[in-house]
Amino acid sequence: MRINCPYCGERDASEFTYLGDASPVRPDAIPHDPPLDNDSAEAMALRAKFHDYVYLRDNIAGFMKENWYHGGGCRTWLTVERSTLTHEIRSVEAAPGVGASVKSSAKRGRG
Amino acid sequence: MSQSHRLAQGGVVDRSQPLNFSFDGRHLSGFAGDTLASALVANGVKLVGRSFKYHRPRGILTAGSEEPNALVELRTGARKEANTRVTVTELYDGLDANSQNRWPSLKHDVLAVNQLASPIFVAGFYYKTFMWPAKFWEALYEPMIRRAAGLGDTAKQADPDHYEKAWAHCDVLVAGAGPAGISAALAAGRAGARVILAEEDFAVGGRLLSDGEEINGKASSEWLESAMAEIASLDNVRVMTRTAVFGAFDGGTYGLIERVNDHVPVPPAHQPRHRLWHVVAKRCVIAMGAIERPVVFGNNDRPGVMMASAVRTYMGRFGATPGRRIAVFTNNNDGWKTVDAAERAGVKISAVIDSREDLPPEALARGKNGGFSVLNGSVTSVDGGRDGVTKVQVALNGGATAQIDADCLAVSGGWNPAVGLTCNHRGKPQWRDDIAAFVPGGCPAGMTVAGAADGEFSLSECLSGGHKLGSDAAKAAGHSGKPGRAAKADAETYSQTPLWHVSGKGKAFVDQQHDVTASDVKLANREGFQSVEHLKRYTTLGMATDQGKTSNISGLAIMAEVSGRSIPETGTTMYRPPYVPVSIGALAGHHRDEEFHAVRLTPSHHWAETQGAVFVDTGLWKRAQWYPKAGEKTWLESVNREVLTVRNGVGFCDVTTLGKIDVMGSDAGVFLDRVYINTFSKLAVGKARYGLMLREDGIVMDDGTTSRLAEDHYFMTTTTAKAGPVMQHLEYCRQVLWPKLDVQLTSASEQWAQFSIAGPKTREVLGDILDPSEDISNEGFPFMGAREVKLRGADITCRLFRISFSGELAFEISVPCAYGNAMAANLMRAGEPYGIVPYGTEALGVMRIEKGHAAGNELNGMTTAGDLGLGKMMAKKKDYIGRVMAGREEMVSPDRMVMVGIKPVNKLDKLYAGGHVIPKGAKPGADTDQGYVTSACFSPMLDQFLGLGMVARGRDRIGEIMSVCDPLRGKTYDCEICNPVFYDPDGGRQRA
Amino acid sequence: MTAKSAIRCSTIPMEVANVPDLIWNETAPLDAVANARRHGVQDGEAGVTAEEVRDFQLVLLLARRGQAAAMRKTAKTQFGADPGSEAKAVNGKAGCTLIWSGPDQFYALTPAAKAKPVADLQAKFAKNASLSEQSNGRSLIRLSGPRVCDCLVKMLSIDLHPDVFAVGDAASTQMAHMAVNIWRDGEDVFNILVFTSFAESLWRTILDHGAEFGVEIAAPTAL
Repeated sequence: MRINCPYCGERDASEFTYLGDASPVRPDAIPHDPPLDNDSAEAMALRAKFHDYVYLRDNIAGFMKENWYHGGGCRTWLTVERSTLTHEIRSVEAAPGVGASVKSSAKRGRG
Repeated sequence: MSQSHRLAQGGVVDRSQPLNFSFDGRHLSGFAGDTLASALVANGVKLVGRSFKYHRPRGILTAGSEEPNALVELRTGARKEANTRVTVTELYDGLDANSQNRWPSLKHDVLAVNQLASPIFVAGFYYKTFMWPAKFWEALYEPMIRRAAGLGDTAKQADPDHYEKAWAHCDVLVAGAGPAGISAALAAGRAGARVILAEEDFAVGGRLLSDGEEINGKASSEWLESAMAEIASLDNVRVMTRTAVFGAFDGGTYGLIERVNDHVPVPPAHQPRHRLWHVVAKRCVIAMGAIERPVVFGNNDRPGVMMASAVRTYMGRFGATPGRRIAVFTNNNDGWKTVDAAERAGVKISAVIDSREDLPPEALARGKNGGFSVLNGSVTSVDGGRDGVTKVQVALNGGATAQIDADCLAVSGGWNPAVGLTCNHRGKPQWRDDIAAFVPGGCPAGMTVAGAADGEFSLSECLSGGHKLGSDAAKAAGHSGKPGRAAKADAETYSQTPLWHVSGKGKAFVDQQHDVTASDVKLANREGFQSVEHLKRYTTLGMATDQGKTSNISGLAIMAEVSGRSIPETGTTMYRPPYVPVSIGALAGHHRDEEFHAVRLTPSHHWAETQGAVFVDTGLWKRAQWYPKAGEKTWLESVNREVLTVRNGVGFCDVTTLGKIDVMGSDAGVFLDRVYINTFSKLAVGKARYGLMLREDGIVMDDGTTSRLAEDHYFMTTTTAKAGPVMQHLEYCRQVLWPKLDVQLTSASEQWAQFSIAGPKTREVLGDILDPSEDISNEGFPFMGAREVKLRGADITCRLFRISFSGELAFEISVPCAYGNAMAANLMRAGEPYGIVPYGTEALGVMRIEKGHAAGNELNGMTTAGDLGLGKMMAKKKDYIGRVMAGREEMVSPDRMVMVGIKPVNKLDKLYAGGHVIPKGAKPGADTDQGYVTSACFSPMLDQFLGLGMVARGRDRIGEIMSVCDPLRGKTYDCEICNPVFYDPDGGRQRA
Repeated sequence: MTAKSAIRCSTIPMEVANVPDLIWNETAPLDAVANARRHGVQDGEAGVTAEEVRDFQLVLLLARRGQAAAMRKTAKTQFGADPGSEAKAVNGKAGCTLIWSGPDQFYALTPAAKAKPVADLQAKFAKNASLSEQSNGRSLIRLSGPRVCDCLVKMLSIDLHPDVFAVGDAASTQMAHMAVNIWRDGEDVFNILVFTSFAESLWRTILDHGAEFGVEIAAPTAL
């Protein structure tokens, strides 16, 4: 497979590491002050959100957006839109915080 | 016998260059330009091997890569290669080949009795017969079957040759250098594209070499020569012979296997035997031709039964004849070319058996003129044994029978396009009724198919199709130069009437390599294995080195017939790479033995070598494991001495392999707060702190010490094993999770050589190493201090950290890597008066176990911070990776297994990691399992074995006597559960 | 390897009684293996020339968030060249080369004798870049010769065709699974930066793959 890194050009897949679905967004989790009781409804609701974020993934047959890390090259994280059926790659985008970029991405939470 | 079957003239072999070779110890000769197959044919050798299952005598069936039968052991000793196809083995002087799967000799093979027992060796035989009792399988059945069935014997020594891999990039890859491929390469090359023309054979030309035809009104050999000369003049076209395209992978990547030095006895010095190419091509033109298919009839595996195209190749290309009275059996007009070839070669044709009902009238006339009979019918079987065909039995279309004298039967059942590579991306081949064959359907992106591989068999179609697809491919790759004109040949029409199987006397083989017969296919149908994929697994049809190139289509045609379906309904099995056999050596390439993986050396590696260190592989690193001294008989003696010297005096260890990461930027502190469970933003400049990071699911990921060197500069350390993964994780956090934070990350692992200096006399040694102005007293440099220091007399800035893994008074010093060897040597010099020793990873491990420090064995992907006794470090007022999930009920359950110390009650008992902890006296079992030993060592301080482990409710069980069950060593012994900090529990020594 | 001279402070004056002499010799990454000789095929012109390049300062500069343009501006004054935003290696003043290594980051490679201390540089880049010294963290290998590309294609997966990877082009990639920064310094000249700990392993791999062309190992040179 070849991935077209926006910075390095097309490279062999062996230079990249895969990290699954790029769509889950890390929930906001600023701790309460004073801390929540671990058994409180609020704490449980937050854990439920994180449970979805950490574990729940759609098993897509077709195009999906995925995280790929160009660790064997420029060390950027990429969002690759790839078909799980044919390995065809439709688009490759750099993660919002690549390099010194200040491209904001509201849905990716604070930061 | 000297080349008894070599024709007086003809062929492209070099008769001025005779080559000697031996087959089964017989000394024979051939010519340069021969394959082993053609040389055997020229010497009249018919019997070449014994078959896989029934040990039937077999000869040469084909003249190409698709050969199922004629497999030999090539070379001897360490270079012996089993299952080598003689049809693709280039002859060289001194070649030594031996037949295989026979004992004691090819002519007298004892296991040929399998033929008598053949009624029981039917499809599914192994599954049905060797079922019970199960324990007999390994002990009896498998060894027995392995001895009886099978092919060649592998060399038992390591392969002395080397192999490599390489990359190439091009606009157009052309697979196959026959008329279509050469036309395609020429057109694309003229248009200006970067072209690679790959040909499996050592000679280019494909069928042109065998079938003398005309191109542009002249002999095809003239066109071949001029086309190749023009290609050679184009800098942008690269011709790779002896190179087969074996797979089409994603994104226009193709696998090619170049047999660089198979045509010489021993590769020249420094040259590989094989080279595996990754070719990245914008476009690919497949011009791999077609494979002639057999007809299945009785005893169709007898030596002397040969594909008609192969007979022509031996005559036309190699100037050798497989027989003196050749009968031709065909269902198509192409088979008749064999008559032309024989006439050119002056070999007698005894008869042509043509199965087509509407036999063209000119055929009969042809026989009359040529002095041979033309029979309208089909071959039912042949007579003859291991020495080859003697008679051919024919059923005439009218119902009568006939018998023909012949010593060779040339068979043509029509042509199958070589669709293999076109189906590598799950493309389903399409059935074409007019040629009764599958043609490519749904090629991988960027691939087109020219000529015979696309079912266009005539030379004129190959030339024009190749030219067109070559120019199209160049254009698609962005090259608009002029492709020139296509070469021309006379139009021809291919006509055939499908014929797959003729009933007759004797076994009728579909797959000759795996001894699968027509009745096996029928049996599979009766037993319900009608799907082609089931048929393949049940009968083994189409498996092994030839991957059924001559058998798959016949097999499924017979299955279609007996199951009452059409051939396209029956379908083909999946075609996967590799299309031709690829040596394991080529797949490994350079990466074997010492070069199996890249090796990382520490900055004091060469110094450690001078000290006689024993090294251990830690991931890619080589680390000093211990430093034996003269007189020490066991490694344990050395390790004990190193530990005792550190605890009582001073020692040092190269700890460079720990990952080091520069974390910089105005938000560096905030960033670390989010990745560590504890707080770093408030860490004072000049201080170090132990940090623990979790995965988002709440499990511990890694630990290490991180120091603040400046307001906006932290220096993080990680474990050796997790250096890479942590870097990747931090970049993910920076780039994906928190893109607004001003943080810059880079690995500093390689810049700094880091040494741990430990023991009560550390200050004395370090005092002599550092510039006298550096204050390293407890007040001037307290525990967990971190700052830059200067070396004595040298203007080298170093970083000094007061951290301790051993539990002793200790410092870690970072010097620029170039001073790694010098630092080690200087520590020895400065430490000599204090009895300093270098220590290795074993002593390091012993001391951390004595101190109860968790390491890789405890950070094992199952433990939480709480499990490791580090729960109190988890900050409450900030968010960090893993915080929320670490609060899950199961993660905070009081019943969890937590880290404890484990000490055998009997001081003489040895403790090993991996033992299971059960209640004292309980019967070992899953229900009594309450934990496991993660790390163990002999502690010279406590003079007994110690361990760390994970034990359910362990912290409440300190002092309890439990049992450790070690089934691997067959031992169970009593142990005391204790505080994991065995040595200096209040930590006074490291703060001294 | 560091900003200062190659071999420094051989012997320390005895200030304190009984304090042993310390010898602070530097060891270059390929010190143990890169001695001049011919490797592989011995006859004819060497297809590949390999040499270790020493005595350089190497600093990785990473732009602070939102400061890429400012960093490039400062680079222009400090190094006399704009590192640019494409995968290139550009030459600046005082013999320095700026080598792109990823988005908004580049290496500054300077002969040790002409280099400014890293702390001084950091002060100049103040809040627009973070600097990490790697003078000892990388080994610099220069490969040249008529068969250099034939040798490199056995280790590198990138396309080395001169129209694709031209003189002045740089790439962050892998050679035989080892991370490298490579740039083309001439039609048949390539410079390779590799992690110091991998240097000997990569060196061996290069020699193995170049052996069939004959490798001339030149004596190590100063940048």
